[in-house]
Amino acid sequence: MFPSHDPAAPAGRGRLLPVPWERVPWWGLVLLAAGCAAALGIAGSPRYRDTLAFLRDGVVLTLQLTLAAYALALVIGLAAALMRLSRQKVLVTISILYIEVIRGVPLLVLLIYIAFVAAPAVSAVLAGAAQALGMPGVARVITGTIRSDFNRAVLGLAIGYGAYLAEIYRAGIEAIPRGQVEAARSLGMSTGQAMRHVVLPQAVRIVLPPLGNDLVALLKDSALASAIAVPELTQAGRLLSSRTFRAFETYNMVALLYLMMTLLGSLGVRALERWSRGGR
Amino acid sequence: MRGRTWALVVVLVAVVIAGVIVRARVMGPGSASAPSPAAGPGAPAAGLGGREIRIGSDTTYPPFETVDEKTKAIVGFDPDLMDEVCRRANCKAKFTTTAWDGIFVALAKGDFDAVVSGVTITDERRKAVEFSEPYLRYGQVVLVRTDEAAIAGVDTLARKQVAVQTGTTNDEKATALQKEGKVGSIKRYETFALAVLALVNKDVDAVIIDSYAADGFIKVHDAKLKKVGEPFTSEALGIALRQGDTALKQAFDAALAAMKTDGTLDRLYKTWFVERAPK
Repeated sequence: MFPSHDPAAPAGRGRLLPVPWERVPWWGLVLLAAGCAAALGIAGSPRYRDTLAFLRDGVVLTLQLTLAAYALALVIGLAAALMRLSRQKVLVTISILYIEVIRGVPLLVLLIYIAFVAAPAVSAVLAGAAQALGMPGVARVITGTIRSDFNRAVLGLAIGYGAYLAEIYRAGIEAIPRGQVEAARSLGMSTGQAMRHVVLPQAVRIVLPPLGNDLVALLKDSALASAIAVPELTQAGRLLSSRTFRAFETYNMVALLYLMMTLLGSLGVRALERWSRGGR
Repeated sequence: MRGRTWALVVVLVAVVIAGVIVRARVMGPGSASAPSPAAGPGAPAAGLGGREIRIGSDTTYPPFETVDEKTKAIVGFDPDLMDEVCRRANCKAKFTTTAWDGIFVALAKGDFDAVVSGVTITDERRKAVEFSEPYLRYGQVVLVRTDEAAIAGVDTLARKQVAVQTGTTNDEKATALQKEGKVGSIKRYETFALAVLALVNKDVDAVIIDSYAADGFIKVHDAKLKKVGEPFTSEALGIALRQGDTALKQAFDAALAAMKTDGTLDRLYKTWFVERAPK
């Protein structure tokens, strides 16, 4: 009663060409075609060339913003994850509070809050304190640092993404069976040593791909910084389209530039995934 | 259970599609192309035949247009102006809040029939939109905090941080000044409300802004701000229309001309810019 063989099993039978169609990376071909069309269009059109020239500084700033915020978020996230997993009740509470509050607030609101509410207040208090202590130089450095919109955007994005990264770290660390830590402890390692030599090296492999994904996501979310007067790629695009009224060319180019950056990032993440799978 | 779920999905999709169709009918070109030259009693009164004029406006710009805290209505000089213009041209002005960024694109593709948002008439904008005759002349000024001592006008902004709203004529002017080395750096915000907030927060040293809007913000911020120096440009505001929309242009220009002659425009001006100006 049961068919003894799958009729589709012999490869290529009944096909005109022995091509494994389902394994062709169609999305890649479509992107390649779109990329070629875009490149031709840009090369042939002075408008697109002007647009690209105008947006160049924005691209640089977007990359700087992303990398700075990501570096800080990695540190904040690791600290929050270790606090979350510690045995100190206070640290755990602080960590959970941070993660839940930040994940519950839209990133745009967080950025606007830092730029227009928190930063001016903190700046005033710190500068006032430094002034009162007779250190006008320190006061100037503090206000100068906090006054920069770039720094505010970095801080806002890092605090926002730190909460997500903390959960990724935690998942990675918790994926290592507890028995390994116990085994390491029984061999005479301290908790810190067990963490450093046994848990983290394995956890890193697990968390690298999702960490990479969040770098790509952060790159896209860096566009939110345009709302707090950082002249990154999105704001550069807005500025250009408001001056030239060429919204079509401008936003085509803005989208294409973001896509180029995120695709490069995605390729990196894929490579990471392959590496982390192969290593196990 | 599964059958129920699917039925629900089908009903939902049907409702959404119906909604989209109805909306398209109501908002679509059908209503926009309503004006018919049917003559009413008295040739000028026929005007636009009572049609609704959809007006886009960035309503974060006192005293030209703001949203009233209590009633949520859009109030200011521009709404009053358009009510009066429409009373004379036989139409109905309907203001909608929208972002400044992209406001002219929305006008061009037909989301609005007019943009009335303290829009300065410039040659660059003329390439993309049609303008009515000017309804107000003004100059740009420098707005600073009351305790500011180092800035006395537009010539004292070198090495200072200046804020503007992205894509305004003030932005253009600040950019030009920066190229001449007369402005230190420029921060661009999505609205003037945010730019002025940055000034109050001491994030920037000055805001370059139209003189009447400066008065509006001084009032909003309880005299924490002041204007310094004389207005350093001479510009005019107009109603922005779609290119080739001669029906609206003729009707609005006629109404504005009449309002200039009989003193209505002056009265509106006094109401919003003299009586309500900060003392």
